[in-house]
Amino acid sequence: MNRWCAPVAAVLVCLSCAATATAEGELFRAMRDEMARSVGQLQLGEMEKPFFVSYLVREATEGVVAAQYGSVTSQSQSTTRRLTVQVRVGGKDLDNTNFLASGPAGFSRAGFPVSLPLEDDYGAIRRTIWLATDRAYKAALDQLARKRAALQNRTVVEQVPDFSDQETHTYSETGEESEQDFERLGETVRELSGVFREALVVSASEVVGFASAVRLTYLNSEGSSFSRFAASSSVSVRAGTQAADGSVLEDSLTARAETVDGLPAGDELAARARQLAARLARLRDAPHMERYTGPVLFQGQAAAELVRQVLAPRLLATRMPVAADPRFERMIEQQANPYVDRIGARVLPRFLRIVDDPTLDEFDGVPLLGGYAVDFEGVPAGVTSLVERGFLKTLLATRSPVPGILSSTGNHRGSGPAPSNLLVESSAGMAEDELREELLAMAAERDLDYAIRVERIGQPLGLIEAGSRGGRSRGRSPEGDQLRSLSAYRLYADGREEPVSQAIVLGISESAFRDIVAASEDRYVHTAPFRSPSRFQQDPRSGQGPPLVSYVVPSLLFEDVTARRPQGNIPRLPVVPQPASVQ
Amino acid sequence: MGLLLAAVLAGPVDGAQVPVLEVLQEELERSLSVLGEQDPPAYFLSYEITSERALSIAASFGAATVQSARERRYLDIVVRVGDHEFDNTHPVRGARGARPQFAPLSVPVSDVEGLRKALWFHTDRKYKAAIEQLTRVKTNVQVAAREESEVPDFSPEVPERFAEDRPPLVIDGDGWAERLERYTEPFAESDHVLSANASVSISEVTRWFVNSEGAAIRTVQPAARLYVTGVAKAEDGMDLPRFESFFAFAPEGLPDEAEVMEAVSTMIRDLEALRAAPLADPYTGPAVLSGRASGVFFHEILGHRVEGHRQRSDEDAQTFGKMLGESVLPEAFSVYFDPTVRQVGAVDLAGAYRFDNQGVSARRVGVIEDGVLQRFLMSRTPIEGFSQSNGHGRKQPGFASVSRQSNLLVEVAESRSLDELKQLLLERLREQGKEYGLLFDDIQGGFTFTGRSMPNAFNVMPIMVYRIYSDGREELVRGVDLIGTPLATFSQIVSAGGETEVFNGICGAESGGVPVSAASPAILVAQVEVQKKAKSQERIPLLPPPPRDAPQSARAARSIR
Repeated sequence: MNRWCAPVAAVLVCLSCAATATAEGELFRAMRDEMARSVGQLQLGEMEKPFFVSYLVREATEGVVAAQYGSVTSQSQSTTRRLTVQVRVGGKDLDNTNFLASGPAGFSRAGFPVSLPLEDDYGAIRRTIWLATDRAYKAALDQLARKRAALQNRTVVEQVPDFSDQETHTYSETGEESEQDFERLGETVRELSGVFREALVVSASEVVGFASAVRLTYLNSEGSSFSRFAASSSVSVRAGTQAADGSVLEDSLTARAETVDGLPAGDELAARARQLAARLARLRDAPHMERYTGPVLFQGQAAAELVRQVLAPRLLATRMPVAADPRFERMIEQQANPYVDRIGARVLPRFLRIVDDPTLDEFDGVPLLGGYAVDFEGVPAGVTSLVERGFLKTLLATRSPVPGILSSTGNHRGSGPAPSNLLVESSAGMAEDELREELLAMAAERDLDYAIRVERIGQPLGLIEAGSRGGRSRGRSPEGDQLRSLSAYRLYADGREEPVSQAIVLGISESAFRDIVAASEDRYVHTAPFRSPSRFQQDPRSGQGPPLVSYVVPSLLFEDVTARRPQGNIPRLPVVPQPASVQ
Repeated sequence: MGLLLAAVLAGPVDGAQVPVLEVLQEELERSLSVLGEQDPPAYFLSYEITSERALSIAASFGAATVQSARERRYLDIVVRVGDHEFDNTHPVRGARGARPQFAPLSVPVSDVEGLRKALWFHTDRKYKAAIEQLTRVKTNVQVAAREESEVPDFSPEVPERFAEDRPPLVIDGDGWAERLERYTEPFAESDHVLSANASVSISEVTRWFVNSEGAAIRTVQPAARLYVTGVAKAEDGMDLPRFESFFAFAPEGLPDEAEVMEAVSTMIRDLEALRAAPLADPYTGPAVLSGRASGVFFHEILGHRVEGHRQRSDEDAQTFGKMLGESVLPEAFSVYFDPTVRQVGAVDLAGAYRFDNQGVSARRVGVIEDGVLQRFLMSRTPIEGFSQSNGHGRKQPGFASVSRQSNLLVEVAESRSLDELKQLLLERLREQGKEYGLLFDDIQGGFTFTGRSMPNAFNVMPIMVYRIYSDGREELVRGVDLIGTPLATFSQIVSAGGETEVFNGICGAESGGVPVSAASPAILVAQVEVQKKAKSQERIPLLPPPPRDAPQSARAARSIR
């Protein structure tokens, strides 16, 4: 690593000195003093005063480093401290939120995070808070007026308050804050990327490392406050190649831990990267997935990915906004979560239950990274039982209620509701070989020669094909949004197994989960950032990245799944042979 | 105090451990030996690697707000299939609104084998994209209307060889953070300044370029930019910004603290004055543009219209396309684009470089000489009458090179003083029977449209505008932009004078953002037009600014309810 890293590493030191001073320091004092003024004096003419104000400060040191073939291609590091102000006017039953304005929104800058001084400079911090609050208050008045106008000619069928009541809660995390060792991260990433210098089969690869140390400080006008710290780090490997006929084969792996020091050792990561290269090599000669409809067993990561991509978004109480323009209503309806109307319905087989548990930090010795003590609205985190004996009990909620779920479950994770650690459990768990037998029996029933089991699911990475079209931009094939099996096998009645090339998996919607035939006793832990498919579940203004969610999921056996080879054109193989020096 | 950004940016020039140029050349030859034998064959290949390292620090109202450091290495590959006369870059006609492609590629440069592998992989992709495009343009030529002129697609040029090293940059990050805090501190004394920022960005760009004609170039270009911004708000809600930007090739070249603090107090004075200034009305009449305003004015109305490739695009309005040899400015005026000039007075010019992004050596280009349009800015894409590049093929990494501006230099044979210009303005006022004329002093930037699907207008955004009344009195006004159309406005330029001033900036166009500068004396324009500026509808803050120090009583905890 060259010496440019010196300044990069030095940045780290400043956060730790700024952050340790905060708990009851100048930052919090400035927040509290300006809060008092905002609540007591902020009023425009005869218009309403704010009934709720909150300040959230996110101070972060973050670093990203990317490398290829043992050499760093880009890295960046920054230290920031940003403030997000929320002002509510009106009343809890009807306020300025949950509203989709249209046309020029006037105060478009309001609500976006603003930079605060990195140092605990009371005067400079208060000045920024003052201006941001002023702007947010005026925008809130404007929004409320527009919202009232929009509602004037409509009758709201099911009136739900805009904001739920919440007991005040204070929480402060003190003690040692872990620091991120960015230099070590860079070294890990660089070395790991060197694995692919030798892996002849892989024609494109990239390793990306990320680390952050974030302190959140929150205060609202009801008296709730918190200060919490979180460290997060990851190393991701993406690699791609082409099969003999040109078919694109891609796969990835990600290791996560709170701190860089907690990541698996270099040898361990290198071994996993070599396994990934070997997986791709095996698939180069594997047959294509012929069109298959029948029972499919999803194991480990594949089962967890299904839960993440298909089921988890349905478990959120996402408030649908009132639209200023009635033409948007249809679009909003399409985005709505059908499970809001299905509380009490059976959504899973009777042997499955789902619990969201932010209080756990490990499962069977494997770390869970979705936990926290208090959510982004200052609501204490707690265990929520979502599905019991197959029946949907409730959804994960914030303080923006939906019909039937009127109070927060403490799941506001920055830009809306999100799970924390989502645990799926079977009361009739089977051993893995029992599951295989069940799978084969179901295939035999349908006169199929073989059954399919899937080990890994992912999405196209755009490493191979995007090169000619869009560079780093995510290659979105027409089938890009579908589930893609990265690693799957044909399982024959005689116990023989045969890998099949990467394929598209169809026919798994949330309703398919109801008909799951069996689940394993053993469970797999999978941690990934949570990206909601609904645009109303993510507030782009929050300045928060997608939260990490850990999934603890058994292998799942589905009765009717269709899988087939990807459609579309296959890129030609490279014209020029690989450079000789690599061989 | 004491942000520990003890940044000493010491280090060897990036990639020094690896003979990057040699590896690029070897891999280029290896690829071309195969691709040159395919059908259709590649006839030209070039590699450019751009390594950027930058450090950014910002402060607001006396406190540091952001610190970041980044480095990134980009690979740009050009593969041409066909031949010089007709290749895959041939313009597709009638493809209205085709977006320029932006496809930055990352590349490892500190490992020979990794570099080879990345070059191999991406070259193959580029070749395939090139042959697809060649098929597309061949079809297009057959189905679209006949082209107005037939010129080759690629000019032959002399391959240049050059290698540059520089001592490593030494940056005192800690010192900069403290300096920026001092620069922004005075803004806090004004109750009316709602936003105040100072930021410094120090970067070093190393470029390696090779092509199949034998060019091999390595350059290292450091740059330092300092921006200071203050924004106040008028009682009617109008945002009143004031900017100062400084550019130098090295951090030591930026102005010293005394000079910046002087600029800061002027900014604060201006902001207070702007708040009290009356709103200007739409107006046409004579005006004087300061040197910096003139620089931006020429950059927008002239510079973008003499970029050669536009003369080839059937979507471009081609304002000056058929005006070669014609007089477009008063005889005293000449306009040059010269990337080889590194300074005007004591100010470094951001648009300076040794070689353009196509490996062609930089040179002085006389676009307008003695008022007469002589030539265009050329990349390696020929246009009718101009078959060679003049070293202005430029781009941001990830884009394709087109002809772009460098350092725009306005030179006048008979220069007057600023006072003489103002006197001339007063004469015009009397002739035209106008109550007042305008003086555009400081400006924030501008933009222009050169396409055919929109009116060919420009907009220069001034910050400090004065009315000059017929009795010589000057009055600061606010809230207008300078607008117009190029040819009508050009014919109104009368005279120039005063000191040459420099505007350094980043110019954005279809090949991305490139650093440019414009240097000009002040000019007198017989008739300009101004229109009302877009305005924020947000009122001034409701509450007065909070106290700067925590009240003693507030130190005890208290309820907020």
